[in-house]
Amino acid sequence: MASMTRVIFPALAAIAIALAGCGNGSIDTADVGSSPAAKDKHTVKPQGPVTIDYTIIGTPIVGQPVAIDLQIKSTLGPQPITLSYRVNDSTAMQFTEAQPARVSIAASNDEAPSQQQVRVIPLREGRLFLNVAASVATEGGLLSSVTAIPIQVGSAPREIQDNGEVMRDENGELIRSLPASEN
Amino acid sequence: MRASTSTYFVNLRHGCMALSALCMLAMAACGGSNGGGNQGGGQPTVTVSGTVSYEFVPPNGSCTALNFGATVTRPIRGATVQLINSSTSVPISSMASGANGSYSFSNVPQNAGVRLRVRAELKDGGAAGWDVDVRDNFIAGASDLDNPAPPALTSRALYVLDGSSFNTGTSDLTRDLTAATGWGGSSYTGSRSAAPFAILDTIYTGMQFVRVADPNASFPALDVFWSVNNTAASANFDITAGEISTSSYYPDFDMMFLLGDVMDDTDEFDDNVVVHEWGHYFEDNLSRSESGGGAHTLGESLDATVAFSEGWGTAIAAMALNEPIYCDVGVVGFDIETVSAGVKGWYNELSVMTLLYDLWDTNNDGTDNGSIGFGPIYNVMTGPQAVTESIATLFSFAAELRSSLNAQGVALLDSQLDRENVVSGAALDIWATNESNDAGVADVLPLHTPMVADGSVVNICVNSSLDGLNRHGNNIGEDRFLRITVPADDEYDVSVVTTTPTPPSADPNDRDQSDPDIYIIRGANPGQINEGVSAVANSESYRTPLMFANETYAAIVEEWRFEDPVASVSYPQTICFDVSLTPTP
Repeated sequence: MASMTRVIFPALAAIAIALAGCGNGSIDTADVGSSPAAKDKHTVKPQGPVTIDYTIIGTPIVGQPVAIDLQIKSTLGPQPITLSYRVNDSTAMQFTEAQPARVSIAASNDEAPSQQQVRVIPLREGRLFLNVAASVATEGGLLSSVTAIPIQVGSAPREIQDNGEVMRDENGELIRSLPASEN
Repeated sequence: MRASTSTYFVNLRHGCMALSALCMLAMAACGGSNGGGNQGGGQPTVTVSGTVSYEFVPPNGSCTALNFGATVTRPIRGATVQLINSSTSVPISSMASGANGSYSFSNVPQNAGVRLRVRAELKDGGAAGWDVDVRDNFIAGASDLDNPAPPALTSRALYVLDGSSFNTGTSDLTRDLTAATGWGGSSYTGSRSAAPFAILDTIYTGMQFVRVADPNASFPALDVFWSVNNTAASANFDITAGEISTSSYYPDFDMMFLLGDVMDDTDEFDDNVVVHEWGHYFEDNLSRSESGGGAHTLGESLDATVAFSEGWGTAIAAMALNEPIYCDVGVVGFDIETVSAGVKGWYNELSVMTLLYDLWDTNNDGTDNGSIGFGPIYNVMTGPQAVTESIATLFSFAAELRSSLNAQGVALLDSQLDRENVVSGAALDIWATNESNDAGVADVLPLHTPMVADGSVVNICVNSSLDGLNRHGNNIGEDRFLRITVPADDEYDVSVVTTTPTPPSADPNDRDQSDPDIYIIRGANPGQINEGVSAVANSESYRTPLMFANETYAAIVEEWRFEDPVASVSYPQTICFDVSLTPTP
C-alpha cells in the first residue's frame, strides 16, 4: 500500500547516516525509532488545503488498468471540490476509456473523507506519476492543491536525470560543473 | 550522541572555512588580487570583467506551472567568482560578485589561457556574516544505507557554473556568464544550470531583507541540497538516492533540502517555498522555535508552536520577496492577504501569516490600515521571543511586540489579533492566560497549565482527534504545555505517569502502550532543554539539572504514540497523565 502519510523519522535516520559518511561512523540513531527530541524533527513546506491520501490497488502491470483509491479531506468547509487528473508523460500512462478527466465531489472533513477511484493504464515500466489537482472556490478565489502520486510499474528502476558533470576541483573538493551560456 | 553529530558537523564546517582562508592566503602569495595595475615584474596585464547571472522562471497566473515565456535574467549576487588557469585548473583570483552580478579581475596576464567559474556559495567575502552552500545530495547508484557509507552530506558536490576557456589577449575584455534553465521549449533539454543559483540568490534576498533591519545580522552556516533527482517519497527516505520527504529544513543540522524532479515537483524557482524554509532556518538560528514541524495542511488547527513557525515562514517569505502571492507551482497557490481556510485562531498558520504580513505591509485592506515595518518584528523575534519564559508561540511574540510598540502600533496589532480571533489588548500575555479560542477541540486550554515544582501532581490530557491515524503528532491538543514555578534552586525528579488505561491489543507486537515524553525549557537559556524521552511504557521519569527559583520554566508533554507511525490503529485518541516535579533530597 502506498500512503501519503509522512513518516518523519526515517528521514532523520537518513540524514544522520548521510552525515556519518567520511568514516565518522559514530552517530547514534538509536532513539530515532522511539521518542526523539522535538528539536530533532524537521519542517516541511505547506500542503494545500485539500489533502489526498491514496491507495494503489494491486500491482501495476503494463497494459493493465490499475485502480487508485483516493481519500480526500478539505479544511475549506462545505464547498464542493473539483478533482482534475493529469498525466505529464502521455507515453508512460493513459486513462481508461471510462475515466473522466475531471469530477466534482461533495465537501469532506477529517472524520469522513470523500472517496474517489481513478483508473489508469501504465504503458511502460518505471516510476510513473499521476497528478491529482483538487480545487475549491473560496471567497479569496480558487484554491488548488496538487498531489503527485508515484506508481511503480514493474521492477524498472527510477529514471535518473543527468545534470552537469561531477569532478574534483584543484583542492580536491567535489563539485558538480554546470555549463554557462557566455557572451 | 546527537549532540556529537552536530559537533562533528560544526567542526567540519569550521575546517572548510579554515581551508578557504588558507586558500585565500595561498592565492595572495601567488599574486592573486583584485586590484588594478601591472604585476610586480612589469608583465603586461589586462582586466577581465563582466557580470554573472541566472535565468529565473516565474509561475503562470494560476500557479499551476512555470511560465518559461516570462523568463527573466537576474544577477547572481554575492557568489564566489573565480578566474582559473585553464592549463593547471588553479584559481588565479577570486572575488564575490557584486549586487548587480558584476565582477572584475585586474592584473591578469596577457595572452593567458583562463576560464571563469561561479561557485554556488555565499561567503560574505570571507567575513563571518554568512556562509551558504548549494550542494547536490544525490549520488547515482548510491544509497544512504551503503556500506561503506557514502560521502558526508557536507562534502557532497558543490554546484559550480563553468565558462569555457579563453585567451586573455592584449586588451581588457568583458565576459558575461549566464546560468540558463535548460528548457528546450516543451521539456528540459539542457543542463539545469540556473536552478542552484536561483536558490542561492533567493536566500541572498532573505538575508538582505534582514540586513536592512539589522546591518550587523550574522547568519550561521547553512547547507542547501538540491538535485534534479530530488523527489518526494512517502516513506523510506534515502537522501543519497534523492528520495526526500519534500522541501524541508532540519534545524538540528542547519540543512535545507529542496525538490527538483521534474516528473514530480520542482521548487528551485518557487522562491516563496525557499524563503519559507529559510524562515525556519532564521527561527532556528536567530530566534527560537519549539516546533516539531511535520506535515501541515493549510487551514488545519495545529499545535501552537507549529502554527506560529509555519505562519512565520510564509510571512517572512512574502515580506522578503515583497510578494503576497505564495506560489508552490503545481501544488498550491494563494494570496496571503485574502486566504482563508479552517477555523481562525492562534492554531491556524493562515491566521498567523496574514497577521504578520498585515503588520508589515503598507497596503490598507479592511482592518489593516497601517504598518509597523519589519524592524519591530525582527527585534522581537531575535530578542524577547528567543528568551521568552513560555513556549514560543504567537502569544509570546504578540505580547512582547505589543509592549514595544507605540499607541498606533498597538492599535494595529490589536485589530489584527481581533480579526484572527486571538486574545488582544491588556488581556494578552505570553502564557495565553486569557485565551478562550480552543478551535472546538478538547484538551487545549489553558495553553500553559500552571504547576508548582513541589511534588504536587497535575493531571493533563492530550488528544489526537484531529490527527487520527495520520500520526503527524502536530495538531492542536496533541501536546500540552506547563508553566512551572520553581520554589528553590534544586534538581528535581520529574514524573509523568499515564493514567488512561491502554489495554493491549490482540497483536503482541502492537505498539499499544503509552509512551509519554516531556521537555522542560529554560526560557532564559533556551538551548538548555532537559528532556525525558525514553521508550519506557506508561511513564517517564528523570532528574533535571539544577533549576533556579528566580526563573519560570515551561514544559511540553506529549504522547509519542500520537506520532508513532506504527502505533496500534486502536490506540486511544485521548490520553491523560499525572505530572509532577519533586525537589530532591
